[in-house]
Amino acid sequence: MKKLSKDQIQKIFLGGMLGIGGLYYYCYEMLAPLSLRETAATSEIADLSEKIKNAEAQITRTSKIKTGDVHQESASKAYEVMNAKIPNGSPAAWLPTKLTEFFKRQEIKKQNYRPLPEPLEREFPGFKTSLWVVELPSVEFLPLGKALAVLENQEALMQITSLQIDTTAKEADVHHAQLTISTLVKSEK
Amino acid sequence: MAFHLNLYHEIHKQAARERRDPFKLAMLAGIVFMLLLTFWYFYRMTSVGSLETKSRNMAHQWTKLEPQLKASIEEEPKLLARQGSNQALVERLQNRFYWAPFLERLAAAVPSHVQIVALNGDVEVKEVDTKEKSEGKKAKQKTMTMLLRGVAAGTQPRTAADEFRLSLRKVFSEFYSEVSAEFDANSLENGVEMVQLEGEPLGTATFRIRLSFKPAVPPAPPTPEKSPAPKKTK
Repeated sequence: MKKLSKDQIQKIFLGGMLGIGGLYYYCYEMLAPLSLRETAATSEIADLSEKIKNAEAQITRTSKIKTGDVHQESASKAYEVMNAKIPNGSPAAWLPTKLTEFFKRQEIKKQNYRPLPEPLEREFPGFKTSLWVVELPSVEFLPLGKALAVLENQEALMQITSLQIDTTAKEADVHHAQLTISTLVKSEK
Repeated sequence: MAFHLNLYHEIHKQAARERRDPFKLAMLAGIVFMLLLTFWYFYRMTSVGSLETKSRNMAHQWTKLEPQLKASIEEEPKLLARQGSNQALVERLQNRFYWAPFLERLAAAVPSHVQIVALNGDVEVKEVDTKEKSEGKKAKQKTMTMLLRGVAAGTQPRTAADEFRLSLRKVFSEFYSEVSAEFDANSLENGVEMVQLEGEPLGTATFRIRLSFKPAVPPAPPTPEKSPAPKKTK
């Protein structure tokens, strides 16, 4: 093998020094920023994919709720009917009159009405529940049953939440009845 | 065999020595190493670039999704509230308890030797968890409680009252579910009065029966399986 000359040894030494410098520059000035960019991009991708996954799940859930309301159609129709049929204003102004006319048609003459405190929870937008006690001081069992049947068939918005029937001391066939009626009325804005 | 004399052997040796020149080999190795490093750098740059492109695309996707997400988060409670109110309204309209058929069945169930003197009925509404518990859905379940106060007459008036209680349970089990008919505590007592029923003097017993049930129709009993048709014998 050829022996290296002094000049060549110097050149190799110089080349080696330059190589080390170059390698340092390559690692710290070229590869290191790339690694930093890669780390940043990877963490951003991980962060964004989590966010996107959660967002898509949330959007899907909301759209499922939107489309999965099985009562939507029936409720919309019910609201239309309620808006059309329920009179405006306080129920005290129209409900006793309406019920008096109804019971008169059923040949039950005496009635007393008493409102109860309204429940606090408002389940239906634009409407509230109104509770009324209807007292029928002297009524026979059969007309009472018939009247209740007609009331339940005609007035879908009304529901009887309690019923008391007591025999009166005077006559065996005549009863004292008391109904608690829950009905929907328009809430005042 | 002919004798071969290489007159150029010194020239050949010099050429071989130049080929194995360590300086040149070191230079060549340095160049190859530099090329490898350059190749690696470009490879890394490309892969980082593609990652950054992916990240940018995702950021773009996120900027599109973010307003939708905000709207969805704002909308969800409103939708749930509306869904709940729709369900409550439909249930209110469809799952009413009808008192008239109940009174009709009660009147038919009371025998001639029993008289009901008072009826006190209430609809109790309870919220129960549904299958969709994770979504926070609750269903309203109605329980009817009827307190019947009455008088039974008979040679064994207490037995007559108990038979009436059992018959109430049987009759209403056909129409409602989870029917229970029990005497109120210490409510079954012998009466002091005697009554005449079909010309016969009978003792009386007063009672208070607590009848409770759920308005839902009881499940139909399972239909018996059809037995296979008998094989025809020749």
